[in-house]
Amino acid sequence: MSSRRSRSRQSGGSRISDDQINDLVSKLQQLLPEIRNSRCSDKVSASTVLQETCNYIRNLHREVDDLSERLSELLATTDTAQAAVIRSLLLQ
Amino acid sequence: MGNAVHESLSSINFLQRAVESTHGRSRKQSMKSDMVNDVKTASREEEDGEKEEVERKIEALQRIVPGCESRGVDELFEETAGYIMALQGQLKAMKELASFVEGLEKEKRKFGG
Repeated sequence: MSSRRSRSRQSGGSRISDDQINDLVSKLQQLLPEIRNSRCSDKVSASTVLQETCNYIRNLHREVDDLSERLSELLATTDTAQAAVIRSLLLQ
Repeated sequence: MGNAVHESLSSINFLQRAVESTHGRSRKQSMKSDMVNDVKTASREEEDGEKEEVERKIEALQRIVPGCESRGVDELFEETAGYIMALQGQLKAMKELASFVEGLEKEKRKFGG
């Protein structure tokens, strides 16, 4: 990734340096499956990577919620000894 | 007994708590429309605002990933990566558990439990 010298736009006391941003973004790019696999990584903007990261985490949250519900229902309706054991483990 | 069990399970949280306690804070506090608003607000202003837009998105990410608001940007990647890994692990474990419990039900029907 080409290292751009930070143009000194004094954007009102910015706390985060350009280098920090570039560093963070390039690492996040490696982490995100979509960007890593499909798009040409040079062309992806910092903003996009950050957006994708937030979206990805939100998606994971949603999956966890859906799965929680499904698991709740399964455990409530399954009437075997093993299910009873699992229920007691989860009801701490 | 059926009702009591179902109510308790409606917050099936032991795996979630494991994730959250590792990262110190409930994600539900951070997962609001704040992030959406930040993105919309950031879409105004083009050129000079470009960096500000990026900064706002970084701040949004800090709110989503537990424990990041009090720390600097340098640690943000580590925390984000760890959090994503934890969520993925949690999903995997829950999926395994779900298919196991489904298997129990099928077994029971098959053998006339």
